[in-house]
Amino acid sequence: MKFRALARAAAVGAISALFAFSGNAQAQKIELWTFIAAGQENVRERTMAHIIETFKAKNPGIDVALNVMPWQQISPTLLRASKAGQVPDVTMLYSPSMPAHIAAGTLSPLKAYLDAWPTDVRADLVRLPETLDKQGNVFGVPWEMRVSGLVYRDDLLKAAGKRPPRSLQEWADTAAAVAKDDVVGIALGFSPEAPSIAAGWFLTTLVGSGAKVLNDDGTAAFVSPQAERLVQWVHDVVTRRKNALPQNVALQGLEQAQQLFIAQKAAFLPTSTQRFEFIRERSKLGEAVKMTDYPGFEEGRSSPALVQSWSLVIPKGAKQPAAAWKFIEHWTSTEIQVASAKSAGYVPVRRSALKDPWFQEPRAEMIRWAVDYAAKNPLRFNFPENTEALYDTWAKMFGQVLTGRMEPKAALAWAEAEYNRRGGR
Amino acid sequence: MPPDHIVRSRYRSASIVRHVQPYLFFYPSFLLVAVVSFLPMFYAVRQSLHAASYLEIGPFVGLANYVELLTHGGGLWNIQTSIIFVLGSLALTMPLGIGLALLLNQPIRFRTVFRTILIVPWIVSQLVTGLLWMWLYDGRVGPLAHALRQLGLNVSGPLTDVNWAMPSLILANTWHSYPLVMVFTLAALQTIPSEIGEAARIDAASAWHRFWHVTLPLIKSTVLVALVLTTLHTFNTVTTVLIMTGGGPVGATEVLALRVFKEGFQFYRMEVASTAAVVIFVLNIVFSLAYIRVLRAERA
Repeated sequence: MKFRALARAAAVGAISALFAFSGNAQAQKIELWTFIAAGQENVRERTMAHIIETFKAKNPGIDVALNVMPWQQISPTLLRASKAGQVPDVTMLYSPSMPAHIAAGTLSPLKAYLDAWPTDVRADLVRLPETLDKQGNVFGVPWEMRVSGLVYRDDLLKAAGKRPPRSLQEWADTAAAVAKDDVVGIALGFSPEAPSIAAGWFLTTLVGSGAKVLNDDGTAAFVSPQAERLVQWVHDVVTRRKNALPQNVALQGLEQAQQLFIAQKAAFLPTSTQRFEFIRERSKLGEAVKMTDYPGFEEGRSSPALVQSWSLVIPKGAKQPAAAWKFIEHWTSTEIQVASAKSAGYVPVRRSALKDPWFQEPRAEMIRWAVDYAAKNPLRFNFPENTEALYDTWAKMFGQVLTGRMEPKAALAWAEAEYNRRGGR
Repeated sequence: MPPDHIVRSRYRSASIVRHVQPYLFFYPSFLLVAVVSFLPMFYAVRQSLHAASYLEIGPFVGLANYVELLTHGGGLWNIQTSIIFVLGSLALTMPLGIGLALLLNQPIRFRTVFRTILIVPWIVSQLVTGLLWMWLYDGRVGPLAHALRQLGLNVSGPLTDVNWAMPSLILANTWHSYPLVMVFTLAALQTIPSEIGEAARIDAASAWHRFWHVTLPLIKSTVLVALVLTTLHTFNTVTTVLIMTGGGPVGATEVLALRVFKEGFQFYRMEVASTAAVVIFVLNIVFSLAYIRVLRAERA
């Protein structure tokens, strides 16, 4: 009796083990951390659903489990998960957060995978400096690009007999000319609540003017004649030109600035390409909204293009790195890049994608402009480990200047000392 | 009738169960609280005494992080801002919550409807509260500014004004916090026997005297609990401040809790975040003990 029971138990155990083994062999599941769900709610969700479906069709043995979280949470959560050894197989990571993760050692280098690609496939892919360490090792592959630029109301400019500005002086003049009591010239906010657009504009204009910004050892070099001139320019636009950039707009964050433009109460909005279609649609201004390069100090010499991206990375300690890489390969393939541009307006990260005839159509105008701007005049700047600390320091500096507490030169010196005291973090 | 030794054995078993039972209920909860609350707290204290690189704890530095935070690091300013935020919020929240509870305790029509409506801000998340009030205050596209413009008054947004940012934040926080005080007070008021109020009325005591000398002493303990909870909640408020001002303009609303969040999750300076978190904890303890001391002194 006992023997029979034991034999039965052993048989059940063996069959269960066999099923478990075959199950594992058949369904390999990778976990993806993302801020975009796969669904039908909007173009982004539909694009994500398409990427997942096509990946699963090509790789029947691999399933993808999405863990959706707010985009701001991905970087800090990954840092904590890395410490706890509970990382996903693949995750999105915003390019300004990449240097911190590379320094903290949370990401796997991708060299071995990239080396397996043919040279032309490798060279076809856009690379951003933030995804590399100091030795040039790659830690992330962008799946979309976003280029910062100046969105403007073409209808207002035409009505005032103005063209898109080609220098800072012209920008200030045009902003003042088109401003009315209920329409501001420029919607640009330096609030520490969300300073990334304003601080990004400041950075690219500063670098474009030849200023150094950071020393080779990472310490701040904020005080320069160019920086003083640029801060003074902002100060003057706020204080001396009625409604060109009112103080209560300059001290707000990027969302309020965008809201102002969408409400048809602003003529210029510095922003990034990924928001362009959304702004056109929500403002109901359609074709009257256009995008151009950031103007520099000198006429006809634009500031360099600030290119940022969401990259795909494989965290150190990921359980299924090979399957995760297959997923990255799929997402960054020419085919998916073309499909994503068509469906959601994403700027592709593969040059070969641009050969698709769709990119010559009028609705791809913004993408053509972004690729052209980024290719001709890219921002060359070694981002620090923590870009947010840099931007936060500048936001506070502008607060001091715009509330009349400090002169531009004193504010720059204060910001430099503050940034260095914090060790750049 | 079972034999004596069996009765004794059963009695002993029942006695053991009686003694052990409370611990069986207590220890799982205690362990849970210890794991969820005390361990992170000890970890934060430990980290505040060490240097750090991201999440890696570095060498022991004693109180250097505290000295740095409270001297060059702007910690004293953050503490001052936090105290203004807390005291300002309490100054509005407590009278408003108690006042509304007194009104809802009256036999008025549609009392249940009013009670339901008045409790709504409590169930609204801090995120939504922040977004809602930010929109209300907006000097260009907000409804308040629009209404004032119709009256010929041009206003700037209070959240971008150094002098008005903190009062505006306090008002938004009051809107979110008063229902807690109201619910606690209302519950306490409903435990007071109606005879007590009637007796005071027969003695011709005025409404104010009845409240001050009869009602308030009877609900004081409950009000104190609401006061302590509101203080802790306001000291620890991050989301509303982060959404509405991000600490600006020029640090006018940079409370200590916001500093903890930014240092920890934006700048990855875990040692500074932990130090500021320990300071908040100490402030919470100090305020709570002060309230309890006041109550005990009055009881004595």
